Amino acid sequence: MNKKIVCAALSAMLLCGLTACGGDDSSTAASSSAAESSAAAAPDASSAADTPADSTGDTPAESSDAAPQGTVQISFDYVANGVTLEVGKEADGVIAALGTYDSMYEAPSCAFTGTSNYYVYGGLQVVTYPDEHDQSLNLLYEVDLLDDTVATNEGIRVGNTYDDIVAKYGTPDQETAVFAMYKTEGKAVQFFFDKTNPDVISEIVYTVILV
Amino acid sequence: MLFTDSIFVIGLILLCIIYFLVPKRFRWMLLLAGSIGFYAYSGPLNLIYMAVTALSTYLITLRMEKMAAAAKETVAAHKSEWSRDEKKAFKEKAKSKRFRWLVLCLVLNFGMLAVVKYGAFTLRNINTVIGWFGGSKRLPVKHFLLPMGMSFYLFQTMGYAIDVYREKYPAEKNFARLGLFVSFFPQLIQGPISRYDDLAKGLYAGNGYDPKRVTLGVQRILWGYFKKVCLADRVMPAVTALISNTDQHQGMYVLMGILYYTLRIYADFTGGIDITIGIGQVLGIPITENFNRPFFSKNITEYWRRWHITLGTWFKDYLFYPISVCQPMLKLSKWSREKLGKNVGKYLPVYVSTIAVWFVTGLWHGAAWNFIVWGLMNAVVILISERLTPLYNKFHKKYAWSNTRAYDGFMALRTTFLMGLLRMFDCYLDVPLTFKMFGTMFYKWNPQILWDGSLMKLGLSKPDYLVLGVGIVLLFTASMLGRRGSVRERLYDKSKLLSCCMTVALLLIVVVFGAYGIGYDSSQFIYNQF
Amino acid sequence: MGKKKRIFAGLATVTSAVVLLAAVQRLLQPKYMSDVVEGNLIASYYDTGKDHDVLFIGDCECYENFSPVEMWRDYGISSTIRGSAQQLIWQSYYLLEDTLRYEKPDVVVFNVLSMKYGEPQSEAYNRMSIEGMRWSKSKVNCIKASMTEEESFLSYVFPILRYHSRWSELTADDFKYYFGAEPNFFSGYYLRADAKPAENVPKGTPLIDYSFSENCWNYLDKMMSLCAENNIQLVLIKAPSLYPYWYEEWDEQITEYAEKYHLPYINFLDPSIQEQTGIDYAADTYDGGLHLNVYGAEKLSRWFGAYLAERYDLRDRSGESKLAAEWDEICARYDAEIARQLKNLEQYGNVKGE
Repeated sequence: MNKKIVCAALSAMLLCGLTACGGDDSSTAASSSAAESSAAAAPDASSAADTPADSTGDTPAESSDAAPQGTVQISFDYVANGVTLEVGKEADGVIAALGTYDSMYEAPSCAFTGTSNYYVYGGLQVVTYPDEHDQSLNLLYEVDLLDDTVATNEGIRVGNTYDDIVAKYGTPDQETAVFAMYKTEGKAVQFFFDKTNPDVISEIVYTVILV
Repeated sequence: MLFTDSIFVIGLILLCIIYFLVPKRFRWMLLLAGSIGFYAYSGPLNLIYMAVTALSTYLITLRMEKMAAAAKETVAAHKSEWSRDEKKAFKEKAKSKRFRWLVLCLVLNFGMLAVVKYGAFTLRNINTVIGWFGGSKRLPVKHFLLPMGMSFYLFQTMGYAIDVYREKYPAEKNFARLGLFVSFFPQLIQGPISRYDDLAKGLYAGNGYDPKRVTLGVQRILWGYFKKVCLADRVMPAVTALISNTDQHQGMYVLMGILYYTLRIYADFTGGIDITIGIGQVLGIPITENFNRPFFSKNITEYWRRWHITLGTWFKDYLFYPISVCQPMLKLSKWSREKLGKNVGKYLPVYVSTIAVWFVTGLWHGAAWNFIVWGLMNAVVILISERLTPLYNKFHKKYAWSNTRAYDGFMALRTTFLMGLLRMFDCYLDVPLTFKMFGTMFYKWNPQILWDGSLMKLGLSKPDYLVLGVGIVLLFTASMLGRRGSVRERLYDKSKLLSCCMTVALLLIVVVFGAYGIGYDSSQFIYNQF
Repeated sequence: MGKKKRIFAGLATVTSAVVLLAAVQRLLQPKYMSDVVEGNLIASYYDTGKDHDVLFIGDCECYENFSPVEMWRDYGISSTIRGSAQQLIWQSYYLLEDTLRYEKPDVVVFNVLSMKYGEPQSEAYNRMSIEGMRWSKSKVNCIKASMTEEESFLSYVFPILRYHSRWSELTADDFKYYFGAEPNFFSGYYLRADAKPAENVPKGTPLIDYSFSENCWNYLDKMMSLCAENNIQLVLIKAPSLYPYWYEEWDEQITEYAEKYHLPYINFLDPSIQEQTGIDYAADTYDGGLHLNVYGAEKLSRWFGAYLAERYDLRDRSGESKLAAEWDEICARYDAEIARQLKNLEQYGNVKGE
C-alpha cells in the first residue's frame, strides 16, 4: 500500500516494459532504429500502408505470386485459439482467455511495484508489462512465435523463408540481413532469421513500438 | 513563453532587482531591453513584425502631427483673410489628407495581422466556396505561426495612431520610447490593451522603490499565479477530457463542462491580468484594469463592461462609434427612417454597428467560424435584452422582491451561466458539435454522474477537487471583500507584519498547491493565442 | 520607516520565505524508508567512512549481488558500492567522479548491463540515482545528461517543484524521518535473505539492433581515462543475473573492447566462472534470477574478493583499528538485519514482516 503511494508520488514513469534493471530491450532498439530508418523506409512504409486499403475494393487476388504487394492485409494482432492478442492493450483479460499456460516467469521492476510477465503456451510466448501510470494494470507487450507449431494469421511460421514472407506480406518496411519488419502505428511484426542460415525464419515477434 | 515558464519567473525577478539598482533615467531603457529580450525568446523572427509595426506607426504619427501643425499654421496665417467656411473647408481637407496616412498605417498593420492570423482561414473558406460551385481548383493554403501577443500589441499601437490622428495627444518623438510602449513585456502574453495616455507616464518615469507599492505588487502577482496554477491549470485536465471524448460526455457532463470551463477561463485570464498589473505595480507603472468582478454582472451588457474591459472599450472607441457616425451609416439611417418607419429607422444603424462590432470581436478571438458564431450570438443576446429593457423595467417596478439582494444574486448567476453557455463555442471549437452537445443537455438525462464517481474519472482526484473547492471559496471571498477597496492595501495599512505574512503564505500556497511540473501539462494561456 | 529598517524588513521577509519553503520542501521529499528504500542508496555513501580499496559502480546488479561485508570478513578488503536502480552509465561515471572527490580506491568495478541504455529513460529512476548526490560539478553534469524531455534542471535544484503535490500523500514516515534517514544499507549493499528459485527464465527475444550506442561507448571511454589518470584499475563485469537477458552479441562487444584496452572483463554468467563461484540459482536468488540474495552475494563476493586480492595486490587491512571499528559497526548491523529478515520470514512468510 505504502509502496503504491511513493510510486504515485514519483509518478513512477517506469520504462514501459521493462523492468527497471532492464528487461527486454527490443523496445529501445525498435524505437531508436525505427527513428533512424524512418526516413529511408518512409516511401515503403506509405506504400505498404496504402496498398491493402486500395486492394480490398477492386483487385481481388487475381495475381497469385507475381504481384505480392497488397494481396494480404497484414494483421498486426495475432489471433491464438480465437483470442485476439492486441499489443499495447490490456493484457489480463486475454491471458485469462488463453487458459492454462505451460510455464510463467515473473520479472519484478527494480524498486517499484509491477512486473513483466512471460507466459509460454507451447511454441507461443506472451509478454506483458505494467502500465506506466497504473502499475496494477498489465499491458500486452509482445507475442513471440518460438517454433513451427504456431503460425502467423497469414500462415507464416518458423522455418519458412524470406521469399515466403514477401509473397504473403509484400516488401518489408524495414529489413537487414537478420530481420524483416512490417510496421503500423505503434506496433510491428518482426521476422528474425536464423544466424547460421539467414534465409530461414527462426522467430516471429509481434511487438509494440515505443516512441 | 508563458507566465508559468521558469525562465519568465527568473527573468522577471532579475529584471525587477536590476530596475531599482540602475539610475532612474536608464530604467525605461532597461525595460525596453528586457521587453525585446523577452519577445526575442518567443521567436526572434517575431521581432520583425513588431519592428514593422513600431516603425511604421512612428513615422506615420510624426508625419500626421507635422501635417496637423502645418495646417494650423496656415489657418493662423490666413486668419484675417479666410471666412469661417473657408477655414472649415481647409481644415476638413487637411484632415482628409492626414486620414490617408492613417489608413495607410492601419492597412499596413492590420494587413499583416490579416495575412498571418487570418490568411489560412480565408483561403480555406474560399476553397469551400469554390467547391460549392463545382470548381476543382484549390488555392494553396499557407499557415503562418502567429507571433505571440500580436493581436494585443497591434491593437494597442493602432489605438495610439488613431488617437494621434484625432489630435488627442502629441505623437511620441523618441522611437525607442515608442518601441517600449509597443513591446512592454508583461502585456504581451495576454493583454490588456492599454492606451498611450494611460501607460506612457509610468513607463518612462523611472519610478523609485516604494515598499508599500512593491509589496502590494508582489501580492497581486502571487494572487495571479494562485488563480493560474492552483485553479485554471488544475481544472484543465477535466476540460480536456470532456471536450476530447464528446461521445461519452453528454448531458450532465456538458453542464459540468460549462462550469469547469468557466472556472478555467476566468482563473486563467484574470490571473494573467493580475500578474501583468502586479508587475506594473512593482515597477511603478499603472496598467489599466481589465476586469471588474465580471461574474457579479446583472446582465450581459454589464458583463461586457466588466470582462476584458480594454478590448470592449477599444472596439467602442475605434470601431463602434466611427461606424455609427460614418457617412454610409448616416445615409442608411436616413433611408431607413424614410422607408421603414421611425421605429425601425432608429434601431437599424445601432443593430448594424453592434453586429459588425461583435463579428469583428469574434474574429479577434480566433480565425475560425466558432469564434464568429460566438461573437454574433453575443450580439443577438445583447440586442434582444436591450429591446426587452422596457419590459424588465416594468417587471422590477411591479414586483418589489425583484429588487432584493437575493434577486441580484440570481441575476448575476444567470448572466454567468448564460456567458458560460455562449463560451461553449470556444470550448468545443466546432459550431455543429456545440449545438449537438447543447442539445444533449435536454434529452440525455444522467444526473447520477454527479454522485456515482464519474466526476472522479475526468483526470481530477479528490485532492484536486479539494484545492479547487477551497480555491473557489477564496476567490469568492476576495471578490466580496474587494468591493470595499483593495484588500491588500487595507491589510498593509493595518499591519505591515500581517501583510508580509500574507505574501509568504501566498507564495507557499502557489508552490505547494499549484498544478505544475511533471504530471501536469503546462497548458497555454487561453488568451495567449490571440 | 528608516532606510535601514526597511532593508531589514525586506530581508526578514525574504529569509523567512526561504526558510519556510526549505522546511516544507524537506517534508514533501520522499523519505524512502519503509518502501522503495533504494532511493536512499546514493546518499548513504556520504555517511560512511571514506577509505575504500574497491569501488563498485553500476545498477541493481551491483548493489544486490556483491556483499562488501563478506569481502571485508574474508580478505580485509574495504569496499563500497555506489549503485542505484537502473543507474545509467553516465550516472555511474559521474558518481565515480563524485567519489573521487572524497577518496581514491585501488580498483573500480563497473557492471556493464547499463551499456544497453543509450538515452535517458525514466524520471523516477533518475530522481533516485541523482537526488542523493551532493552538489558538485559532477552532479550538475549528471543531471544534464540524464534528464528526460519532461524534466527541468530547476526541479533538481529545488525538489519542491517536483514533489509539491505530495502534500496529499504524506505518511507517518515523512514526519518520522524528517531530519534524516536511518542507515539501511551495508556499504551500499541492499540485503535480502529470502529465496525464490529461478525457473522458466525466458531467453531474450531477438533484437533488430544489438550495437551499443555511441553515447555509452563515450562514457565507458571517459570512465577508463578517468581511472587511468588516477592510477586506478578498472575492472568490467557482468553480474550473474539471469534476467534481463544478456545477449551474446552484447558480450562480444564488451569482450572486444576489453581486449582492445587491456581491461579485465569477467562475465559471471560464463559457465566456467559459474562453476567456480558456485551460485545455485535454486537457492541463491530472491526473485527468480534477477538478483542474488545474501547467500548468493556472499558466494560471489568470496570468489571475487580472492580474485581482486590476488590480481591487484590488495592487502588485508583487518588489522587497522580505525577501519576495523567502522567495519565492525557495519558487520553488526548486517548480522542483525539477516536475523531480522529470517525472523520475519518465519513469522510472516516475507522479509518485510507485513
